[in-house]
Amino acid sequence: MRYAPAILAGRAVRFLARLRKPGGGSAVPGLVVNRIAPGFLPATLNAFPRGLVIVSGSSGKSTTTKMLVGILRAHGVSVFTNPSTANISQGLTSALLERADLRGRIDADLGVLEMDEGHGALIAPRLNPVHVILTNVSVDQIDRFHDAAMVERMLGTIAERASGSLVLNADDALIDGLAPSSAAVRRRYGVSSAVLAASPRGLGYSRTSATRVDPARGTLVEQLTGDLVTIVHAGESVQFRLPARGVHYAVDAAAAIAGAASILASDFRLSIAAESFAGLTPVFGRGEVTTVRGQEVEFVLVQNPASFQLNVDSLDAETEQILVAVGSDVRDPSYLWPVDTSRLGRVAVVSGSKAWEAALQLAYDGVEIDRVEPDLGAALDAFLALPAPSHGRKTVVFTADSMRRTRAHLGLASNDQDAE
Amino acid sequence: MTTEPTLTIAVLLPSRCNVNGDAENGAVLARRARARGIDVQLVPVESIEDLPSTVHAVVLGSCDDPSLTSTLEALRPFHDAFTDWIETGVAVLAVANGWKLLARRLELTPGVWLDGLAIIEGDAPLREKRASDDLVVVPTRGLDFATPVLVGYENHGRDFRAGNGVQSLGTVQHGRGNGDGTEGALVGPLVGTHLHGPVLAKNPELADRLLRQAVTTAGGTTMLDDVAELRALDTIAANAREQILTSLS
Repeated sequence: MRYAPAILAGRAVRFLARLRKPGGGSAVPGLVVNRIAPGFLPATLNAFPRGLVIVSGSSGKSTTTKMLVGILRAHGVSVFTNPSTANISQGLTSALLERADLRGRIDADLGVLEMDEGHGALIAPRLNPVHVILTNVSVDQIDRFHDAAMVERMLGTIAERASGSLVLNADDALIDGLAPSSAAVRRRYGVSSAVLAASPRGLGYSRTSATRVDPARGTLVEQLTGDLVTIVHAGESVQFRLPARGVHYAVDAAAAIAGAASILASDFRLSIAAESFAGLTPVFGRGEVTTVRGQEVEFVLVQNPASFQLNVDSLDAETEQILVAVGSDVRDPSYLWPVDTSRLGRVAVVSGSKAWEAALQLAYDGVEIDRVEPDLGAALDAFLALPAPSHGRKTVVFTADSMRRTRAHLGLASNDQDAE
Repeated sequence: MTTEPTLTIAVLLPSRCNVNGDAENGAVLARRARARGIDVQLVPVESIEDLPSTVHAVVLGSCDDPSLTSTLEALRPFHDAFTDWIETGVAVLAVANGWKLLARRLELTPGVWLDGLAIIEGDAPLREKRASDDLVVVPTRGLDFATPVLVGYENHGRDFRAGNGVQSLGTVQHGRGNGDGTEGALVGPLVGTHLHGPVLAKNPELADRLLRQAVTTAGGTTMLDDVAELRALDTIAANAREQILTSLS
C-alpha cells in the first residue's frame, strides 16, 4: 500500500479538475502524484506480468501504438495503454491513476506505452521495457528539439533499455543505427523500393537508409494503393485496408505488425493482425472522418514539417474546402516554410494564434486564401457553416494546440476512450 | 515586353542550410521580382560547380549546430565568389549560422575558435544561453525604411561582435540580436541577420532593398513598382508582424 496516499491524492485532484473543466485537466493529477510519490510511475509500469512495451519516435507513435494494441487485443492479450494525449510523464501518471488499484497495480498482462521522445528519455533510465518500438527521427519544433542529433540521442537512451527486442524503422538511418551494442534482438521494418519511389519527397526522415528491408527476414510494406496495403512479414504476405490513406499509416502498420510479432512470438498470426485493422478507428486528428453538425469532416494533424508535407501530398486532390489552423504550440512557424503547400490550391479559412504567419506561407506558395480568422472558434463555426463541398469533404488541417481547442469547441470525444 | 535583364538568384547549400526555412527567402525574392515583370532564374547551389557564372542575388540560410564545421568546409570554395560579390554589389542575405560562418572567427565550443571565411570583419563568441525568442529590431536610419520595426524570430547560440566597416541592421527592441543591443550586420550589399525563416516575406522593405540592389547590379532600371499582387502579400505580412507584436505586449 506504499502508494495508496499518493494515488488517493491524485484521484481527488482529478475529480476536482473534472468538476472545473469537463474532459480537461488530465495532466494535473499526475503532477500531484509525481510530486508526492515519484516512484509510483516506474514501479507501476515495471509491474506488468508480461512486461512493458514502449513506442516512441518523432511522428507516428500514436497511430503505431493504437494499431499495436488492436493487434494484441485481437490475439486475446489484456493490454493497458495510455491515451495519445497523455504521453508525457504527468499525463502518463494520470492515465495510470485511472486504472491502478491502491497498491499501484494495474489489472492487465502487458503495458504498451506511447512516449514523447524528450520525456521518455528522462524517465527511461527508471523503466525496464522488454520491447521498444521506434518510428523515425524528423526534426520537431525548432525551439524544443532543435536538431536531429538531439532526438537521436534521446531515442538512443530509450532504445538501450530494451531487454527483449528492438523494433526499428530500417528506412530511417538514424533509427536503424541506434543502440548498436544492445543485446536485444533487432527486428526491422520498412517500405519496398516501389513504395519509396512513389513518395518523391521521401518519407520525412532526417536521413533515409540506402537499402530496403529484406521481406524474408523483416516486415515490409510491399505495395500501397490508396488505403489498400500489402505487407510481407517473415516471407508471408497479407493485404488489408488502413484506417486512412497515406504512406505514413502503412509504415505505422508495419511497425505495429513487427512489434506484435516480437511480443507474441509463436502466438502471433499475421491473418489475425490484418483482421484487427478493420476494427480500428483513426486516432483523433490522424485522418479521422467525423460527422460534425451534420457534415462529414476530416481532421488531419500536423506535428512537424515532415508530417505537414506528407499530409498535404496525400490529401485527396478533389478536396475543395480546407481550414488550416496553426496554434501556439508552434512557437515559430518559420520551420514550416520548407514545406511546399501549393497543392492545397485554395484554403477557405486560415486560423489559430499563428494564423497570419501561416497565411503568409500559403500565399507565397500561391495558395488562394478566402479568409483569415485568428479566433479558432469563430473560424470553425464559419467553416462548418459553408455549404457542403461538391467535391471531397471538409478538411481541417491543424497543429496539436489547435486540435485540442477544436475538440473542446466542437465537443468531440477525446482519445481517452482508447485507454479502456 | 520587359526590357529588364533576367535576374539570377542563387540559394547556397539549400539542403543543409534551410533548418528554419531561411533558404525560402530566395523564392520570396523571385516572387517579388516576377510580380514586377522581371524574369528570374532561381538556382539552388549545392556545390561550387552549380554556381552560375553571373549572379545578382545570393541567399545563404542557417545550418544546425552539429553541422557547423562540415558546412564551413562546404562554404570554403565560395570564398573568392563572396569577395567578388561584395565588391561588385551582388545582393547577399546571410542568416544566423550562415552569416556567422562568413565572419572572421566563431567560437565552436567554449574556448575553441574556428576561422570563418573572413568576408565580414567580426567575431561570433558563444552565448551563455541559447537565444530563442521573437526578435524585434528598429532599423538603422540609413536604411530609410518606412516600417518602424523589423519582426521575426531568432534561435542561435552565438553573439556577434562587429569589426571595422560593419554597420548594424538596427537596434534590438525585443530579443537578443548581436548581444550588445544591436542586431545584424550590413557590409556593402550584404545583410547578415539573426531574423531567421521567412524574414524577407515578413519584412518586405528589406526584401525590396535587396532586390533593388540586385536589379542595379544586373544593369536594370526598374523602380520596383507597387503591384496589387504584392500589396496583398504585404498586407498579410503586416498582419503577421502585428500578431507577433501584439503577443509581446
